Order: sequence, then structure tokens, then C-alpha cells
Amino acid sequence: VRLRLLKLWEGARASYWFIPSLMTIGAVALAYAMVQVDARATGLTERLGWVYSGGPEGARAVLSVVAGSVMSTAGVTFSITIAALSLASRAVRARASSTTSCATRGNQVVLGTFIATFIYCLLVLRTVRGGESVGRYVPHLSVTVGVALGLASLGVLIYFIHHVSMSIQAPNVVAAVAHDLHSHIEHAFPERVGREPGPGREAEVQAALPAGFDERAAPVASGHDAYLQAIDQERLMRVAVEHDLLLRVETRPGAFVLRGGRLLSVWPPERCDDRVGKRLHAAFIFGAQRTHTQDVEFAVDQLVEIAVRALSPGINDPFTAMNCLDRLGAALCHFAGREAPSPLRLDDAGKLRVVVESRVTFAGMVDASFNQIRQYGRSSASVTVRILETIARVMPCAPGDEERAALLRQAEMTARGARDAIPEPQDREDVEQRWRAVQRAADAGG
Amino acid sequence: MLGVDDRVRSMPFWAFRWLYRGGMDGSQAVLATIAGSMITVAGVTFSVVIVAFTLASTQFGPRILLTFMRDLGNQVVLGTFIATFVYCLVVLWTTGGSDHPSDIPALSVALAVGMALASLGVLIYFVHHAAASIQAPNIVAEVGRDLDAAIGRFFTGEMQTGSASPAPAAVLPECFEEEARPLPAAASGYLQAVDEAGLMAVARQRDVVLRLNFRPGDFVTCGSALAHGWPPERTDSVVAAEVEVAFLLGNQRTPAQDVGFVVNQLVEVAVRALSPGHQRPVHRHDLHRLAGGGAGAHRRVAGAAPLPARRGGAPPPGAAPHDLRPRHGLRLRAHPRVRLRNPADRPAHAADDPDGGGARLPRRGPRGAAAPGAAHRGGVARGGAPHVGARGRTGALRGGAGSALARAGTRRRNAPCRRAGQRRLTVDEESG
Repeated sequence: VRLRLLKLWEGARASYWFIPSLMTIGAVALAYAMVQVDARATGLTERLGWVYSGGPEGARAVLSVVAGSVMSTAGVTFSITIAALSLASRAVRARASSTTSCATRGNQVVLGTFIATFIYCLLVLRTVRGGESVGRYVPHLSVTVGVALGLASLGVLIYFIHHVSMSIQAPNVVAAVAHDLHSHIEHAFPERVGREPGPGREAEVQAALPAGFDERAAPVASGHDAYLQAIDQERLMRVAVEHDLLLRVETRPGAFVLRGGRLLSVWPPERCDDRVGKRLHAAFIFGAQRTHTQDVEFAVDQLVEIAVRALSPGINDPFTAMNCLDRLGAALCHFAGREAPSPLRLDDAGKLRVVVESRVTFAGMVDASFNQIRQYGRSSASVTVRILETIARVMPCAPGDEERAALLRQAEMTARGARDAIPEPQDREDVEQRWRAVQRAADAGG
Repeated sequence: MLGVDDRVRSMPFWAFRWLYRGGMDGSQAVLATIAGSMITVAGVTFSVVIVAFTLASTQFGPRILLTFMRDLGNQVVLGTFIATFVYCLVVLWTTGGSDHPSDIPALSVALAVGMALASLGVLIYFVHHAAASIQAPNIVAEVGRDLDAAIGRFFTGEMQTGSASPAPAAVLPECFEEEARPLPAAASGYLQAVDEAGLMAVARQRDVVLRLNFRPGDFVTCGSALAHGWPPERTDSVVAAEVEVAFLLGNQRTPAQDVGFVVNQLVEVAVRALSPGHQRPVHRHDLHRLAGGGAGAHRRVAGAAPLPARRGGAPPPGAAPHDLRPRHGLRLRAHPRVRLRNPADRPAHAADDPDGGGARLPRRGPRGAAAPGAAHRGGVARGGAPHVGARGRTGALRGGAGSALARAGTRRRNAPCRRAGQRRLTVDEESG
């Protein structure tokens, strides 16, 4: 349940309607409250010198100016800003826009402030009574608050213009995505506490499973063609304890699952009936696109995507690609110091219940980070050099031989690609020099 | 203004009737119209201009947006609109109500109309300015001016005679490499600036030698050593904290202490223009600007490259006064990607130009006219001609800066090495 709520919450935060509608409701409440206060505290206006003290015409004029101008500003700025964002996304980020910049809380608050000011002014405007009818009535305090809201809207407008022009700059987009990546690594992987030498993960898991598991375990099949966004492991554990099952998760968040594809293997097979299967299936959350929730590689892919787009010959922007490489290097260093969670999950009694083979390894991250940038950027000396420099910088962070080997392999492929693709000997010599630096760094670490 | 109106009212009010002749309703309508239109204009123009700059940035590189944001004119324009709006709102607010003709704030309304006219003028300026500033030659010129300014900040232009310093490796204590204590960074980011005065102060206070491992523009990974301190026992938490504060990290490089970044901006414009997706023939301005920038660097580097080692204590007799000034070594690296697709198509303008491309350079301020500078520029452009096109020019940039550095190096070597005072701070020129 918690994970579903989390998903709903993330969806709400990432959409444009959530904060603005909250603020609109707030504005209605504030207008009502202020009018009430005005009705009760008649003597207050005279005592406070700075409160609006004019007649009904003036009050109407002030309120209608604020309401009208704020509304037209909101309409214009937002529609045009969306045009700017979509233009920028064509060049820099494909889907980064939907998850990072476009729906930031800042933009929602700006839109919300505009709409709330408009609603507030409209509601207060209703209560101003002119001279000709029953009697003059001006809610002085409410009008003052209306003007204050108008000034606040101005402040947000300035912030918004600044914010938009900042957020469509490539380095800031890259930094935002890198920041996401950083916090998800932090979230998903606890800090490395010593290195246990023990047997490899594969052997450990195999030893823990009962004989014949691979052949005879009952499958739980997917009911959707979709991306697996998250797995509710607490729910899996609960069902497994309730029915005394041993489960092995066969896929991972971020993978595209076909209808009928195997999500889980259940042991013993005879205890997996339709009802249990349904309950287990409900622990898997699907969606039309990958999200950050449990998917560290997604953020890596976003950085890589920005870099690869920047390298396309139609754009020719090696600087953005280098920017991404710097950030990927920092993320790899960060990741190297972290321990992947154990694949074996025990229940409270210490009995093995769920096996989740974490597929995110350092070597996998290295390949995910560099493969495509290397392939698309191999004819560019500057990008090649930066790949090798990044690898040399990550090398001291790599904790073991396996990790260093992964880095060295990537560096070797980069250097080899450069030998074929770069025609100028001097450039090739630059690359060779960086390649030797990587080798030195690997030797120093080992 | 309202205060003035109050005073003035004691005089016969017909004296000011020419300022504003309407009644109270009319004055409110005027103020409301001005306020409403100002805020709408501000919203519309700025968002549309951001769209225009986004479009331009797909052609000239995302970093062009920075130039737009730093522009003082644009900020003044936005400020004028908003000030007019606030002014009208406040006048409207304080005067609404009474119907007595003598309460009409004639002066305030007149000033509001004046401000509205001023805003109109500013609007016209803004439209003109925005349209002009997204044209390729102007963008290139703008970045070129930035480059000149950055080089000017960076190199003093004075010849360095006394107090030449030997290479950092020679002046460091022998056991520095083995013993020095690394001072790690707490975050990742681009190094935007280094507060060398602060570092010098703490080095002097704790009596340590610091070697800085990064220069502005480098990417610093969390945990890597920003600097090494020696001797290790005196390099304590105070020094570590000061080092951490002195290194300013951010999301992107800035031109403040980073000449290479400005060169990169120019290179980026050229590289993008060369992309087959744009098919925009390279502007001669782009290339000339590169060559000109290179010449500027050449000229100034030949004048004075900053010293890698800084001494604390009293400057030795005869030392140049800028001995302790916080400056960094130059790192102008021309970009290998600037290369024309088809050199045969582009028989460099310089080649059929007997004076070399430099002769047709747009004037770049007063310094551009200096005789030695012109000679250098001509030299650089001619040097580029055989290579034909951008590669040659950027090559010339690299060559120019390089040879100048080399020359500055010889000058340093030739000068007598004075070792009075104690060394505190060295900037590692080898890295990068």
C-alpha cells in the first residue's frame, strides 16, 4: 500500500495540477476568512494607517487591475514557457523534461500563486458594494491583502523568468539529473562496510536455493506489456511468510516486461494457486515509462542520453557531452563506495524467503555509462580524451580488481576506437597519453 | 509623489490642471490601464524572448543563454516594467475613494503617464536589443569581448623581470610528494574560483606549504584532493576547512577565473556552425574572433604569465609588485573538433588576402589598434593560412599561446632566481 501511495504522491508531485489546486483552495479559504475579519473588526481599519482606506470605486479598480493583470500574465508566461521548454528539450534533454525541470515545485508554486491571487481578488471584488445600493461597504483589510498578493505575484514572476532561463541551460539540466542519480545511489545502496571476500553472489544464491528450483518452480506471469517501475518487497515478504513460500524475483525495476513474461519463481510450486499468484502480482507496479523510484540505471541512462544527443552530428555539442562525462565519473566514484544489498532476504525467523538478485553492479554501471558515449563519440578526440580522463579519475575509487578490470576494459576499447577513427596523428598521440595514464592509475591501485 | 501632491494642493489647484485634466474616475482608469498593460507587456515580452533565445541556443550552444541573463540592459528593462506597475498600484491604492476634485493626485498621475512612456521607450530598446543580440556576428563579438576581458583580468600585461620563480617541483620540499597531507573535496562540481588570498592567509598563519591540484574550470569529484598541505602535522582541520571554503564549486564553469571557458564558448559557436545539421557556412567573424583572441592571448601571455609559486612574508627586494596576486596559469587549449568538412571549398579568406586575415578584423576596442598587437595578429592569421580555415586558425591559437608561454618560460629561466622569503603556495601547472 505504501508503495502505491508513494507512486501516487510522485505522480501528483510531477504533474502541474497538484500544488496549484491546493493553493486555489487556500485562496478561497483566505478570501472567506478575510471578508469575515473585515465584517467583525470595523474599528481596526482606522487604527492601522497603512491599510487601504479609499472608497468602493478605488477598491474595485485596484482589485480588478490585480486580478486581470495576474491572470493574463499567468496565461501568457506559462504557455510560452512550455514552448521554450519543448524547444530546449529537442536540443538537450528528451525525457529529462518530464521528470526534472518542467514539473519542479518552483514552477507549480508560481502557477499556483497567479491563480490564487486571481481567485482571491475575484471573491473579494464581489463583496465591495458601491454608493448607489444598500450602502457603501469596502472590506479594507481584504483589499490590502489583495494588493499584497498582487505584489507577491510580481515577485514570483521575476523568480520564474530567472528560473526558466536557468533551467533550460544544459549544464544545469545535467547537474539536476546527476543530483537525482546521486540521491538514488545514496537511497538504494548503504555505505560499504568492509569487503567480505566470501564466494561470489552466484554461488551464494545457488547454495541457498533448494535442489530443482530452476526446473520446477511455479512462475508468476506478467499481465501487462509495460515497464516494471517498482517492486513492493515488503508485500512479497508478507505473502511469502503467510503461505510459507520461497520466492525468486526474475526481473528488475526498469526492465520492459512482456505479457506472460516471468516475474517470480515460486517454491514449492504446488502452493502457488491463482489467489496467491494474484496477490504476488499486485506487488509489481507497472507503467508506461521508467521512473527513478527503484531504478538507478535510469538516471545513468538519462545522462548518457543527453551526452549522446549532444554528440549527434546535427547538434555538434561536445561540451555538453563532456559535462555529462564529468558527472558520470562523480556518480561512479560515489557508487564504488557502496555495497549492493544482499540478494537473500530472510524473514524474522531467519528463514530464506525472497531472493532478489541485484543486477546493478559496478561493472554494469561502468558499461552503461561509457558504452554509448564511446560509440558515438569515437571520432571526436576531445570526447575520447575526456572519457579516458574520467576513467583515470574513477580508477582510484574502484574497490577491487574486478571493478578495475571493468574500467580498464572500457578504457582499452576507447583507445582502440580512437586509433581507428581519429585521422590526425597528434590527436591520436593525445589519446594514447591519456590511455597510458589510465594504465598507470590501474597499476597504482592494484 | 503623493506627499508632493498633498503639499501642492494648498496652492490654487488650477495651476496644475494642465498636468492632468480628468476627474477621479478618469485618473483611476489611467492608472489601472497603465498597471495592467505593464505587467502584461513584461510577461509577454520576456517569455517570448526566452523562446527566441532558446531557439538561438540550439544554433549557438546552450551557453549563450548565460550571456542573455548577464545582460544588464535586459534586467533594467524588466525592472522598469515592474516598477511602473508597482507605482501605479500604490498610487491607485492610496488615493481611491474620495470624489472631491481637489483630491485628485494630478502630479502622481502625470508621473505615472511619464513612466508609462518611459516603459514604452524601454520596450522599443528591448525589442531592438534582443533582435540584435541573437545575430551570429553579435554573439561572436560579445563572447570575444568576454575573452578579451578575461585575458585582461588574467594577465597583467606587464613584463615580468624580477622575482622569477623556478618550476614548482624545484621549490617544493623534497619529501613533499610522500609526506604532504591531501585535503579532500566535500562535493562534486566545477571549480569556479579559488580564493587565493584566503589560502595565503591560512598558509601563513599555520606556516604550511599548500599545493593546489585543480585550477578553475576543472571538474572536482567528491573526495578527491583539492590541495596537498605540508608539513602534514601542521596541516590540521583549520587548514582543511579553509581550503574547502576557498574552493568555490558550482554546476557550470564561469568566466570569472577561467579563460579556457570563454575560449570554449567561441569554439562551441564555431563547432555548432560546422555541424551538417545547420549547414551554415562559418562566419569569418567566428574564425577571426578566434584568431584575434589567440593574438590577444599571445600578446598578453608574452607580457606576464602568473607565477606558479607564491611566497608569503615580505617580498624579496626587486620582486615585481604582483608577486602575490591571485592569478593562475593559462590553459588555452584549442579544440580539435573545429575543422572544416571540406577544406577545398574554403580557400581561406586569408589566402587571397595579401595582408592576411588579420587586416580585415573588426576593431576590437582600443587595444586592438596597438601596433605590436596588430603585428601579432597578422602573424597568427598568416600562420593559419596554409592549413586553410578553422583548423589552421585554432591551430594558430594554440601555437600562438603555446609559443608565447614558451617564451615567457625562457624569460623566467633566464632571470636570476631569488629565494628570499618563504614559499607558501604553489599552483601546479603540470596538471591538465
